[in-house]
Amino acid sequence: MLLTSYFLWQAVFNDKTEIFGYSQNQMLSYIMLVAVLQSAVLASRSIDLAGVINSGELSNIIIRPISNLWYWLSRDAADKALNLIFSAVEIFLLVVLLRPPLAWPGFSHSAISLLLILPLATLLYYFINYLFGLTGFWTNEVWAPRFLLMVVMQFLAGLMFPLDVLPQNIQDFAAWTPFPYLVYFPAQVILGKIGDAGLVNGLAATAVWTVIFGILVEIIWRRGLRVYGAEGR
Amino acid sequence: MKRYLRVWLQLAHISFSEQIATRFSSVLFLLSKTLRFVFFLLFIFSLTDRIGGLSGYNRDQIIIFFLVFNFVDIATQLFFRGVYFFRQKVVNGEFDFYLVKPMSPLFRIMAGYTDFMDLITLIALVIYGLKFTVETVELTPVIIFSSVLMIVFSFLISFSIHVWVVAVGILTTEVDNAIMVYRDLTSMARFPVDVYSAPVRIFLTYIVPVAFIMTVPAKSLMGLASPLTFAISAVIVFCFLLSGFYLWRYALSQYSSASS
Repeated sequence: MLLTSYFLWQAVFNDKTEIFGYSQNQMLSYIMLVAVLQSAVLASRSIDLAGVINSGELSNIIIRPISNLWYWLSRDAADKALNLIFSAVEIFLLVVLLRPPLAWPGFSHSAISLLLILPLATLLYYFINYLFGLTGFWTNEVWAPRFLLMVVMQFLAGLMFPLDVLPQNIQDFAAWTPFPYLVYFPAQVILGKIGDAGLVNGLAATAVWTVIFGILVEIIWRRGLRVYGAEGR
Repeated sequence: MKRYLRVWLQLAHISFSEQIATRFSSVLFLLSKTLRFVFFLLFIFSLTDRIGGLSGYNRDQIIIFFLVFNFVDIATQLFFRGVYFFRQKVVNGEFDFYLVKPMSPLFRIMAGYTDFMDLITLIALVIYGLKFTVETVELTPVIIFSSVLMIVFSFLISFSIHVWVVAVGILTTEVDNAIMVYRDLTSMARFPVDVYSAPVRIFLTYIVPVAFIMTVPAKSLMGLASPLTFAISAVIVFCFLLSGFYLWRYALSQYSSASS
């Protein structure tokens, strides 16, 4: 997907200097950034949670003196570390082989804000993912909702292309969902395309969504445990 | 032939029963695929509205490329979906049962699973695609014939690549990664391969001939394919079919049935 986007935008910028407010450097940097951010924010092992519930293996986890929420978060962290290494190698090879013109804005307060934005975005995705995993308490048809989530994220999180390439009304709609704050917003911050007000708004929206999904996870987990029958055990 | 059709219908019936049993999932899959299609179409509209066209193609032409891409992609998945489940058959030894049956194991692997949700999206796509194409392209009998021929060639090349994947699956028990690489490469043909830089274009034309699978049928539909392109397509089909069958036979000769 990285290469597809890269070559497509390279072709689009063949005889253009700026499109949708992006220079070629910024667009190619955005694509590279998305690849790295995906590894940091979206890489996950907690996608297995629903299967673990369905198979009854959850019993092995909940009888231990550990929190299920933290258990999967630690597995996610390990997976992210691994993915980041692969992603770094991939990006390094691409930069060496293709020598793309990249745009790196200087160090600013936006860069410092990433220390807050990235952990929040990672936690937000973890809660969303965890919530989808909890559907395993009620059904074994867990793959289809996740597929829908993946498709929606591909577009509304800006994984395929920056969100501001789409018509304004879709951008406005997307801003009311949690998805842009996972990858698109952090990438925009890194590229220096977000002003102070946008930064504060984005940060606040990420925090609010994280809290909302955190609360939802807690409620659904408790309800799920009540109906958990440990089938298969 | 009749016997194969009967077996395919039986297998398709089983797949359909499975999908009916999981209606909720089937509807969500359908919804997701439709959403993906609509979002991408929106992106193309947005992009071409802003830049006017891409590599000399106007918006309508880009949309036809995208529609043909979807048609070939969905149709190949509809008929060759069984490949996605093949790894497990080798690992758990179920492939042995395919080999002892009095029919081509390759057919059994390819047609082992038919996704009827894909059939629904395919029908919707064909209706929209035909309407759009008739409104934007002047369809002559020659164009219709050459387009159908190119679609047949496209399926044959795609079939050969799936045979390669299956053969590699027998030799290495790895299928998923190979098929994902193929899917990723074909996804580059959402846009005509002409838009890419020369090395990428050559790779997508002659090494993994995504151009002949997706781009050439669309060009043919718009009357943009030359007689030379048809000739090269025929040669590529021949080479890929031949190499696919050789690799398949070699893989079978190496199969040790170790899992059973």
